[in-house]
Amino acid sequence: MMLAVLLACTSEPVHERAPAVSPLEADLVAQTWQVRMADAATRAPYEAHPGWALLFQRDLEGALHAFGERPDDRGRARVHLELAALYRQAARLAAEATLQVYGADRQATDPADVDYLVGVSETLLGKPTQRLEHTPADSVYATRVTDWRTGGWPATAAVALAAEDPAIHERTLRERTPEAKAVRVVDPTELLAVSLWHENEATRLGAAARWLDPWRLPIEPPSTVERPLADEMLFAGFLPAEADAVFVSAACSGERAPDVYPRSILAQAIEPALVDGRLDVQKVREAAQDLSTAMRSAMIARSGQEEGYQRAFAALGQLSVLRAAVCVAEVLGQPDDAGVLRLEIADLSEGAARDPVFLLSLAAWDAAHRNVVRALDIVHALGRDHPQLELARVPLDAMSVRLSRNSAPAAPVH
Amino acid sequence: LHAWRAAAGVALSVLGTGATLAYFEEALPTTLNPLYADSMVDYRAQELIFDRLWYHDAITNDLESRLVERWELADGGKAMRLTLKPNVKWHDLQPLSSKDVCFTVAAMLDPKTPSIVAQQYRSVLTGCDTDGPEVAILKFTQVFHNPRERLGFAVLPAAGFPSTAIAPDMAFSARPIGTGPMKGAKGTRGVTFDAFPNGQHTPQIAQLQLQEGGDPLVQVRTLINNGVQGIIAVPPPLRPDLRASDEVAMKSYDLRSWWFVAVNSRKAPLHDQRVRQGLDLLLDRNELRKYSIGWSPDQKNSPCELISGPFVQSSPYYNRTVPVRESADRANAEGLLTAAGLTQVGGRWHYAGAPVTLDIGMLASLDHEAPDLLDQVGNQLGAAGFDRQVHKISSDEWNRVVKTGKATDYDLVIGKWSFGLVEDVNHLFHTRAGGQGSLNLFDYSNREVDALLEAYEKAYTDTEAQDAYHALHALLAEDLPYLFLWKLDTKSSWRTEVKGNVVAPYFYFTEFDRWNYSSTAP
Repeated sequence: MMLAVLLACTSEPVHERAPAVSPLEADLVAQTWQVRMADAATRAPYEAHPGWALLFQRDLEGALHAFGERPDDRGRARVHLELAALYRQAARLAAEATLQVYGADRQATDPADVDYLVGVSETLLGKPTQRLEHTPADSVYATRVTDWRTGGWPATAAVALAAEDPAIHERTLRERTPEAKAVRVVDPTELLAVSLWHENEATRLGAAARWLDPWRLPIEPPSTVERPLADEMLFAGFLPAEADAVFVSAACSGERAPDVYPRSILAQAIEPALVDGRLDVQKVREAAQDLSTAMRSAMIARSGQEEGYQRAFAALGQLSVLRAAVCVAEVLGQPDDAGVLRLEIADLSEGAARDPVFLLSLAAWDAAHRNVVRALDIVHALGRDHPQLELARVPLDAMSVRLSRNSAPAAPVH
Repeated sequence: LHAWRAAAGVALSVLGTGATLAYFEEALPTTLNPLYADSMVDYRAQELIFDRLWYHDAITNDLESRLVERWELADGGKAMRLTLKPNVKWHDLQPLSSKDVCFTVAAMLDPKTPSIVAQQYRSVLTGCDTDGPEVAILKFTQVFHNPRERLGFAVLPAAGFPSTAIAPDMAFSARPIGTGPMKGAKGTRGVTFDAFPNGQHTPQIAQLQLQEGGDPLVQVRTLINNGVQGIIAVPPPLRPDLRASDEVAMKSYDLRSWWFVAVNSRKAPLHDQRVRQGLDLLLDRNELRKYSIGWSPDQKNSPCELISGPFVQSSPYYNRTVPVRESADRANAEGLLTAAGLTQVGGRWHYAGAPVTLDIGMLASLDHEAPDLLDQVGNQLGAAGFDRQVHKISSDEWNRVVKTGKATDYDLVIGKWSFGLVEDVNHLFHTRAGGQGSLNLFDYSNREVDALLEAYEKAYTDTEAQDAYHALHALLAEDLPYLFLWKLDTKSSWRTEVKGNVVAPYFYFTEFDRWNYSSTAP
């Protein structure tokens, strides 16, 4: 019932707009979880379990706890997937920041063992590395470097840590100065291990690996084992239907042609925005808005009335289009447009649409672009719900200090 | 072609829709001269008019220049030879030349230019030579890592000034000449910006009007009714209304802003650290943010986060071992005040035989963002036994009197500071001397604080710098030249007819060429 109460509270009036979909698209719209869940009986199991209300509010830790208290394997599987994606992005964030601070902006006084961290980061990000040849003096890292040298996926060093519910630990290395001050560091291996542990749990509970594809690290191949994507993996998420998971997985793995996914509403929405082989961002915005409108109309038609949850559900549909378009823009060699879309998604990420996984991926993207202010804000905010993420910010902190000390001078202003 | 259009004065008719876009700012800019940018309003307005030598792309964060074609280091890294792009025109149609770049450097180095912005560049630059009209050679004080990162100053026109001694009150400050996408002129009630297509700019909005925002509720209603198309800073309590509208969109504005109550530590009895600590304990910050910002304890992802020192909590310089103070602790406060020699007579605090009256000021424009904060602070201190008088301080008085350390009549002033990537607080807390402490509001002076600020400045490694600021945070939280309040995030709102409106961190309008607007109004 918690979810029912929560959804009722989001009631807003519908601003009438003519549906913008063709009959074929209307059929696809009807297959989305948003529209199917407009049927009270279909939605009832989700309203009956508090875990789904917490998931809808993006309280992942709370949802995991709730699904454990009143056992629901599919609910738990879904949350483990979300957490696996979250910590994949944390690993990526740490790797990107490490590469910037101890790679691009390396200083002679940095501890020698940061070479290991740079090597791990380069590996995770799919870049060739020679930084793992030297064995670190740090005993923990010395053990792991051997595993990393073998390369490939799955990363043995992280798999070993993921065997049991792993934790993330900060370590200190010594600067190469007479004072030998302690430098805080975090190994992305540990963040990846947390992610792999959640993925293992999700898989054990029956989740489909494809769900994770958009969030995989550059070193990883996309999933190969195909399992059906149950409604529990879609509800309150950004994949309107199972066919969209296939399309998004392909698009985020570098595949180019959305028109080969006729059963994907996201592919169908984005396809008209492709003009002369390029993605037109304004058309994407309009397509996203149109899908949102179509979903709201279809939900009203199915439920027989306007109901509180419909606006929030449709907003998730709108964001689904924008998120899929990010991958398409990247594939088409339009990183600038992909960036614009990312920022727009962030601006729309409020309430149920405030997805920590996406936000952390934005922070990782920012770190790769040496933009630390927003990245730190995001990680700090997410750290309230996920305290372990605070440790992912350690290299980001180092990057921020280094960049700020090498910037144009600036005084405070009011 | 662009130059011809500008020369013929037909630019507006060929740009986009020719529509005028109006927006509410927090206040009017105090100046349009980049050397005297005092507020975020100033920086935002100036970003439309001028080009900085290098800037960060608001999307990719790439370091780019709209003025420099190519560059190379010289003199073993202690100089940079830069070649300007062709076809860059000033708003008076004169071509940009290396003389302008070197003039700007010379103006910043001229001790007769009393600018904080210029003062900071004196630690980076020693001079500039021209080598023909297109080549300028910048000379650095030392070899810098990524020196372009340090060259974020706006370039000024040499022809706009009689000498390199640039004063803040010149006519240029109201009617500047830049190379930016818009030509600006400041009036008494607003600023009008007219599009100026250039070799490096193709603005799509013909005219932009900056208006001073008044009552926030009126601002929001005006936006919804399409009387204006944007609001730069929407107060948190009004954000839900705008989020619920399909006709406007909220935009994040990345800025590190924190709020404070500065304490006049030169004045009795506030010169006693125990009195400052007592006042700190008397403030119930949760109540303050509840009544002024609309915060509630069960609010997830609140835009308002308490701080215990001079950094936002997300900053690497924030010392997490120093706890924030959420509620009042009246018993301990009274103990500290009594120990400092204050006595309570009839429920009112007295010092040296007379009742203590606190003169409390607040920068008036902050009242829009945190309505009633001034009264709330006054009420809390009044309820604790202090007589008080509250005053709203105009931007002009804030700049002329408060920021220059001359507001000695005030006991407390409420303000906020905003930062970008650089969080240098030395200006705020260093003893005013030799160019240091230029924004030290009440001439606060503490040797230990000065030593830590200097340790930060001279730090050889990042760890040393971070350690110095962590220690500074702890020390300031104890000595309390400021009662630290909170960080408050900034959200803008623009009508959905405004498209491509990427908001750049800190400078806001860096990507203004992308903005376009199709008016649907009759």
